[in-house]
Amino acid sequence: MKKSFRNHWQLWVMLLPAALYVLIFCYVPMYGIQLAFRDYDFAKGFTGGSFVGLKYFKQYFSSSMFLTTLRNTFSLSLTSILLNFPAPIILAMIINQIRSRKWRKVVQTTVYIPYFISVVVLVSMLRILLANNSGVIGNLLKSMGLVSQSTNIMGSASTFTPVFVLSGVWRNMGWNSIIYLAALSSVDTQLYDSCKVDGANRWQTMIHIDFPTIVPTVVILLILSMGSILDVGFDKVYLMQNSLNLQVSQVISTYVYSVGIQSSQFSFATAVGLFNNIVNFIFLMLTNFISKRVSGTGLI
Amino acid sequence: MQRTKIRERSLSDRIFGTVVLMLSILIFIIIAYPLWFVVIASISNSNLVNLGAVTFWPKDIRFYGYEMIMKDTRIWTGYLNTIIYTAAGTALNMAVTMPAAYALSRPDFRQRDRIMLYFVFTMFFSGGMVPLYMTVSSLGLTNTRAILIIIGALNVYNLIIARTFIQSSIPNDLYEAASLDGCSHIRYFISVVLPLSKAVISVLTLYYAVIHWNDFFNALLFNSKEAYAPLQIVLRRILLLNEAFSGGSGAEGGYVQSSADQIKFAVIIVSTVPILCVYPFIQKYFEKGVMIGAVKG
Amino acid sequence: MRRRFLASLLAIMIACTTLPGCSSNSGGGTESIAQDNKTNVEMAKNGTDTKENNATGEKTKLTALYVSHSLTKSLDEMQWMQELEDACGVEVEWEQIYQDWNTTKSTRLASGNIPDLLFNAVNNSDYVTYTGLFQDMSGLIEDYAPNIKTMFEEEPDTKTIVMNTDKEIFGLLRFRGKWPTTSTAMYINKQWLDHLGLEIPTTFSELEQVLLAFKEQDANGNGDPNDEIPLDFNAYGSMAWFNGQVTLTRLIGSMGIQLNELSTNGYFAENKEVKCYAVDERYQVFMKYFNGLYSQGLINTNAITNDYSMYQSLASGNEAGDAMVGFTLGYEKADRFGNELSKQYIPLAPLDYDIDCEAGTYDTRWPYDYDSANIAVNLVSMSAKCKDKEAAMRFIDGFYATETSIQALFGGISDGCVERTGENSYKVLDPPDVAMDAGTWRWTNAFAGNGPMYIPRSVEIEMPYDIANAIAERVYYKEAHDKLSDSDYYPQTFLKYSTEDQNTLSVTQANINNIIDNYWALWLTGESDIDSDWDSYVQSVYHAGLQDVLDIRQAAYEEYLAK
Repeated sequence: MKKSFRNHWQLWVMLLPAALYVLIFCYVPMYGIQLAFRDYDFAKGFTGGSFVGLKYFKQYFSSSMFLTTLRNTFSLSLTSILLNFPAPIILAMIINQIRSRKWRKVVQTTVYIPYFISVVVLVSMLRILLANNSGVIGNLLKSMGLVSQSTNIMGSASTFTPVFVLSGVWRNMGWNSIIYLAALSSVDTQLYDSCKVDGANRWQTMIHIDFPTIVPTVVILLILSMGSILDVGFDKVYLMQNSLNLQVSQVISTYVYSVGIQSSQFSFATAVGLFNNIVNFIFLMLTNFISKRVSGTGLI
Repeated sequence: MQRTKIRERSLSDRIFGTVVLMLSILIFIIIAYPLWFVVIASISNSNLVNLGAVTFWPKDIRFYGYEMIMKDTRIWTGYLNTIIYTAAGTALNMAVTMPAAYALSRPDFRQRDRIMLYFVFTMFFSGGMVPLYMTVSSLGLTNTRAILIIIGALNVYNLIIARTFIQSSIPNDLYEAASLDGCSHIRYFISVVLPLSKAVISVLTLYYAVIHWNDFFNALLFNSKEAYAPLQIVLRRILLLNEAFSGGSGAEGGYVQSSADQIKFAVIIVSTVPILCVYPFIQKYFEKGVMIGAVKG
Repeated sequence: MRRRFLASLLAIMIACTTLPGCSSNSGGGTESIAQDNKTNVEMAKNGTDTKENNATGEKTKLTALYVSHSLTKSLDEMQWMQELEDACGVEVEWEQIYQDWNTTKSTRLASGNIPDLLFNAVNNSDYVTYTGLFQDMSGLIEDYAPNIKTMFEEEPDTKTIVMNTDKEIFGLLRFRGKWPTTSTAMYINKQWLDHLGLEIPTTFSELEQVLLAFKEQDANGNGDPNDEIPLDFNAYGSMAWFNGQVTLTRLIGSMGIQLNELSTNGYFAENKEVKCYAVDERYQVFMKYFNGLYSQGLINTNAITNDYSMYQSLASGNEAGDAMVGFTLGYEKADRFGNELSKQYIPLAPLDYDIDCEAGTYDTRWPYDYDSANIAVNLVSMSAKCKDKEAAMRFIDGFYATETSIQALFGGISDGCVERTGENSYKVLDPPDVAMDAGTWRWTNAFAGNGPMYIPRSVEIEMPYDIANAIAERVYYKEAHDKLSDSDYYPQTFLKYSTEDQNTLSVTQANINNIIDNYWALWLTGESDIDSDWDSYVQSVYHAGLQDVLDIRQAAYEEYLAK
């Protein structure tokens, strides 16, 4: 008893730097959240404006764009999670199974490079490679029959989500596979040997050893990505948005931006941001709860 | 009986191996072609690139993009600054994250769930840019090198990854054994946990280093001193040259415009080649068998 | 916070009265110098006793922020800027911002952490949102700014534009007076017309015939009848269809709708009433025409998704050097098509709409952007916390001396960009690098369009060739421009609104934009049928709050008319 108590103070010390950082840079600025309930009055500062309750929330919920942007954000986000999630796992498993050491190194090094291509250049490339008539990849897809001849790939509401999500998968899957590769590398090789002796083939080995090793990581990362469900990044959507796909490409972040163009709308933006955060948090807690029930592991 | 089994095993294994090889080649091509495109586009005539005439080989080679970038002396200060921020920042990151992850992984630490919530809450709720700026400003940290090293010292996402890794890969028996010998948490952390966590440490070092390397938003917000500007800020200005004339400013900039597209692609290469060189060093920690010999019996 | 603010204001006021050197004021010299040829050196000497300056040996230090074009070189390297600072007895510490000002602006302003002077950084709504942050310069101008007062006398409109309802002046403008009357011109490939034996089109139906010929026949004579793009335009970006420089809505003048700037968001004035053409029946007719063109394959199918650089690339010809575009929009020929191909093109006069009626049914207009091209507001503002407001005001005033203005626009005389050719005449020199265009050169060496300045109409300037060419091309639009009258002149960007109105306008306009910025594309490509959509479309726009916006705008417009 005494020993464990004496030991615990050391844990608090180890937590101190992190806790302090978060206190100063995350909790202290949180007073800004109350701007969602106040009019912004510069002379009186962030906390001095008159209290208006849910005025800006009402303005947001009653705007004609509320439901559309919410729907678009969810749709884009869920599709992203659905595709972005398994891809790195499968990739990590495949790379892990490559026999030739040289080839494995080549693939491993190449697949994470796309992550470093900035969004601006990525969208630019998409526009060139998928252009009508002149786009190399666009023509390839059309000749393979994956896309109908008359579709304008970059300018169509029906292709917006696939292009957005798949280009994201292309960009992120290599980078995201790193964490899984690291987890797979910690598997005891003795386990592989004993499996071989028992007569298992490579496929079975993969299913019974590799997969369970990465399950805890998978669960945690899944919960975390559900926790950013409404956070479709601004940059990429904004760049890919055009008048033809506006019905599906107007998401919450781009909508708030368009409101703030003429004049800073602090309170409105804060109110929308707060709403976003609350929804994200609810999703996270929900997924965490379900995961704890089903698999025993959870985030918190 | 035994022989047929072995033959079957090698047949299914061979099919498996071929499938893996085919898939890996397919993936390689899908990933590599656009990367190759970036390389050839950065040295081709940008008009031809836009028209879709550049597909597998560069056309009408010019180095305007690289010239523009190299000519700008700010690039070199930018590189230097970024290296400083990345090295110092990442060191700070790991020093803050790993001990905290360890503490949160102890199953007998009763408050750990509540403390986890304390951290996770900040992933969702933030006061916004302006209050953060005012906080930093009141600490006197704006326009300093220090803030660009300190900001982001803890990334809760990475904290969670570290904690998960420690929890699931380092068996608790090791701790039991060590504490019987009178080992304190800190000593156990330093002499047992860290050496066994090479994989996650290298991953997180890479993650943090890349965050620092790619960061331009924090530098934009907190720093207006040109001497402290990191690489991404300098490059972004060059990148935006291309957009500067689009629509609405009249007959201006045709000269820059026509070659500015090249700059876009060259910027990618200039800004990522250094960090790409880091990965191969880290890769070796992902080799199998890192855990061998840790658990006996 | 308020108490602290007031206390510091008081302290500043007290400090200002005791500062040496800057507060002296030899009022006598003002009027006589105003008539002379205004060189910046003379103007700066006015009011500041140089002897006193030398006695203290110190120059007033000011901090300033300039939201710069990405090409502009460091202000400390510009000779003319150094000369201006010396003449005004100030030393300015510049913070030059090249990118993402929109992202960081709200942070800087909200935290109150701004320098003494801000150039090209704020807009009308900021003065209202951040009350107390900016200095009302009207009093300071009276006392310390003779050049600006001259500008107000010679061009009374400038005074009306910068003053708000309480007669306060928070931001000053530029008036450069020499820019063309419109930012957009139409071009058609004359060589193709000649090759196919066609006349220059003057109406919408004639244009359609010509475009058809371009498409079906081998207009550029290279043996391939299918590689021509008859019509290309560009509307890349949010609301660019309504606000862009090279979008097809620039032709809406042919329906009798007079626009007088680029960023209209669809609003215009007719008979002194503010209207929105996005819900006007003439717009429906207009869109039907272009949908017709698109469905016949006469419009570039990538037009809507291309960005500006792709738009420019297409017009510069293919690999073999053949022209690919028949009819398009641009600012000036050489800029649009490159030096070689521009010889094939000529500007086109505004077309009459005659599809289902006689030509001349609609009063054909063309957008008149003279004012928005020549005048831009809020190019310089002063912080209320500036310690030495007199010095700051004199420095600002220095910009408005004619010679400084010309240098701020084109580059310094000492930097080799401009030459003085006579008492009131100047010549803009060509860039030393032959391949470089004049626009790039002036954006590198000067504030160009981003600086406060006053260039009187009386000054003679030999303009650089790109602007000179553009002005020459505008001859085709003179007839349409002469029709402009008071009842359809609506200078939107100069109008001001209260905070409450700003909030309504911002949120409502965003909602309206989402509808109108989507439908034009669907109608143009034929993805949706305009006739069946029209009624519900108009209804949804009104439902989003259009009437509120029109009412607010009308009120501000009438306030402007009353002045």
